Amino acid sequence: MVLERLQDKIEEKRFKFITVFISFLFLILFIRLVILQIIENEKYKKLAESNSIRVIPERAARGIIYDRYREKLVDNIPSFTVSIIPADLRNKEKVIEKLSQILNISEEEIYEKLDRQKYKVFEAIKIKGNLNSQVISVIEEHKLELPGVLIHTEPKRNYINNDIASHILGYVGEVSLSEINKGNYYLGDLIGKSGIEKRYDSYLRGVNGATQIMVDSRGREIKIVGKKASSKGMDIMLTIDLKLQRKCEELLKDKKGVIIAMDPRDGEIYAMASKPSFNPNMFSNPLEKESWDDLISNPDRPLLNRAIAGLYSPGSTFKVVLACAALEEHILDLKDLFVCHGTYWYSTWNYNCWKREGHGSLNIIDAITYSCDIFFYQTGLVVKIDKISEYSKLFGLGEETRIDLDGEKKGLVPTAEWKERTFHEHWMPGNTIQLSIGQGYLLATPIQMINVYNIIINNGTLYKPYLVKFINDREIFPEVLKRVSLRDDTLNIVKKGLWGAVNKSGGTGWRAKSNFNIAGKTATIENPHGPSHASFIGFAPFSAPEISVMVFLEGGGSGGEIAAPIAKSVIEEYYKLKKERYARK
Amino acid sequence: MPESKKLNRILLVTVLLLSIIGILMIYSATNNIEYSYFYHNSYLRQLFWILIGFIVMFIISKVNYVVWIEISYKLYFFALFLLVLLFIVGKSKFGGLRWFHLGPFSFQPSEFCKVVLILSLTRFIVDNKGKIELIYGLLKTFLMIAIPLVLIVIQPDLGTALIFIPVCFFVLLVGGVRVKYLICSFLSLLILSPLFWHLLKDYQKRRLISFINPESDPLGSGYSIIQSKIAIGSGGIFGKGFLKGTQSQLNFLPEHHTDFIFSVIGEELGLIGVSIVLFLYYLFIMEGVKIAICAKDKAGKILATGIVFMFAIQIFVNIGMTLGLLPIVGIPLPFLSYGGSAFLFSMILVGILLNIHYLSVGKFK
Repeated sequence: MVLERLQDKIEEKRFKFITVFISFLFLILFIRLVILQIIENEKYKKLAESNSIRVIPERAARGIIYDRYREKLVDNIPSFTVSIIPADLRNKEKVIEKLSQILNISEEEIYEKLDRQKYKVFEAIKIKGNLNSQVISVIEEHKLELPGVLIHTEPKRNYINNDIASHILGYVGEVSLSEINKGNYYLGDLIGKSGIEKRYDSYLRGVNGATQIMVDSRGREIKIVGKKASSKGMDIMLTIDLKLQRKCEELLKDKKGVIIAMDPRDGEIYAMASKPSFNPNMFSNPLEKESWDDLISNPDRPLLNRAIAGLYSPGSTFKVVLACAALEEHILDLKDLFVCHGTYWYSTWNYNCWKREGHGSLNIIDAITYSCDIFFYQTGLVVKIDKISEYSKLFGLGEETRIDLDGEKKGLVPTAEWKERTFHEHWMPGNTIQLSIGQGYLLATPIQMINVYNIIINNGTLYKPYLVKFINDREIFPEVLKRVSLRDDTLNIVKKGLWGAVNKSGGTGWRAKSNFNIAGKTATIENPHGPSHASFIGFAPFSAPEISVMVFLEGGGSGGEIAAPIAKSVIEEYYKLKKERYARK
Repeated sequence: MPESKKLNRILLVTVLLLSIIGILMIYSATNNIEYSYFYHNSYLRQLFWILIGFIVMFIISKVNYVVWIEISYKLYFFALFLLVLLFIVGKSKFGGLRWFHLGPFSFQPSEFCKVVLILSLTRFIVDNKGKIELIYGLLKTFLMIAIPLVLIVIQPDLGTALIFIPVCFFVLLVGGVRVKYLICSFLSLLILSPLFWHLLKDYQKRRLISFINPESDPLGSGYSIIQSKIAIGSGGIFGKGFLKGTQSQLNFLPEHHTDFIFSVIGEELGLIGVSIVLFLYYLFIMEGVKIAICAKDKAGKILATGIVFMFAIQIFVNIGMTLGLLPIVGIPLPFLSYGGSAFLFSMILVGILLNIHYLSVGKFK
């Protein structure tokens, strides 16, 4: 009884506290209302009656992009922008009509932009950016006829070297409506649409600021009410060497194709050129519809980054994968010889070697050196499709390399089961024969193929290829993508073959022979639509490789004749630049 | 035992009056031509929900509240399931998800959670009588509260989650937990709060920062606070008149028919209007406290306290936000803000409160 009484008493006390507490909360609200509505009423009335606060966004500048030696690749320059503050628009139709004439855009476009932010009538809405001073002076002249129209400057993206490295850098454009909803974007903000600009957009873009100004009844500024400075985005330093990149693009001039130069020891990409290319500055200027249509409908697809999204039959460069499979599985060793007469008969079908007079009898090292097709047809038939595709996947084909760019393609590693599923047909020995020389169904991107060689060069360890070295001061470290366990003798045999291809007389890649001890493999890929594709993948120096290079030319012709010398030029340029930098130090 | 045979008049009248004011103000806030394009006939839709809400309230008021307490654990796990489901479904969408859309109806699980958490907390306290006062029991209680709260925070719906903290505090107080334990746990929450900072989304961090310094973000939430203060402040004593608020009519105010409905009242009906609203809320809340005191058993007392505080804190946080006293957290104003889901669950809580009163012994004065 006593206890219950005590509890009741405690409860009573607590409910009393609750009553007081709630009353206190309501009292606070009431006092605050009295302060706002009676004491400060005049102040707020003035602010409200004139509807006098305008918001002018201050667009943040994006981060600068540098190359690996702090050479600027992308920066920002100021550009004139015209905006409208809807609340100050008088004679709406007339003003918009006039403005559309001056800016040379349709009235509908202006109405549409105003419509998108119709609930922010006191905020400046960007109508058109990147205007030249002539247009601006015309607007200034007609200022009185254009109430509510505002001119201010905004940072604009400037790609210093125009089309150099365009696929790596990407381009920016104004956010689309669907993108606005995805994040903290404002209408008129720039957003990366491809390349580094897209992948690292969250770092590169800064935080917008804004100024709130108080205006009088005629829209003239009286004072600044609030200001938030914009903050610039983070700077990015690439692994790219601008000078080497420039050289690669020169070498590809007027051609269609890819050059990749990278460090096989850590995955840093020194240069990655894809041609044809485009000038990203085009997108910083308001893009005319025709030039956009041109870019999109161009059959050469200049926007495509062929290095990561170009799907090709790798051709003879693929032979090293098959060689590794045969050696690792103990199907072949150095003593095994195949004879090449120039033509190989399987049942009633004949398959030719690229060298019609034949290679005679050769072992696996020579088969790589002289790129004998018939040796590999027969090897493929004994290794069999299952093992070939297993090793292809082991070497990273058929999967993304996870390079820090969007739009990478996976390629295709065919299997018997895949063919069954896709075409409802059995896998035929002919398919294996074609696959053995890297043709037929097999599809790979140039970056995947250079990775195959990086694995061999690096004794089985593959680093993720990457383009960004620093984000502000934060260093991005190399990342091991996979370790393929390969025996030393397998690696030695394949490497010897690759050395011979460049350095032995009669080797298919002899045109790449150089003082820097280059080794590598050529490929001339049959192309049903025209001349053969030419390719070469090489590295240097042979004893301790520090650079690997991939060249691929669409319809370029012979790999040995066309691609190998280009790869040699890239490697020589690399050493030349290295020497220059060393000398300067 | 004599039972008070009638439904509590004060509750009914205050809720009805508030709902009517709500419809009028939603009409005012959405009536201008540009805006009505998007929010076509919002006030009619709200009227529909009010009718549904009152019907549901009457039905719930006839159901013995013990029933709800009994099934509360099942509801609790169902609520957890919904929150996890939302999390999984929402992951595919940027910025998370707070709603389920079922045809024309959308349903906000955190509203459902508000009801369920009060019910299951009541059950837990009643079931663990004598243990709850001890640290161990208290920790178990906190765990029970924390699981759904974390799920709500990551939705992200920080506002709803924050409301629970004071509500739980007072529920535990009435539940008989020692004051010094409550104060200790409150303090430790305060100390731990920097840890939660990392859980917050960027926009939530910015809102908190801009609350402390509104000028720091004139584009975003700082803007809303300034505009809301201008609207209310310019209303003065008598207001600018119904449909005549320049701030609200010109779309200066963001979300002015939902979270900022109070600013519209402040501008158009002035201090007199908002005082009436505040008074109605005060009457409603105090009647609720009375019901809690007079409830026939401990469970009723605890449940009623929980419901009362759920309303009181929402009212305080929402109005405090429009007055620039509290950060913008996106909490609707009970009975006034536009929104079917929130209104419906508010009416369910009123229904339970009515039933607690209905079943209370004659000592109710």
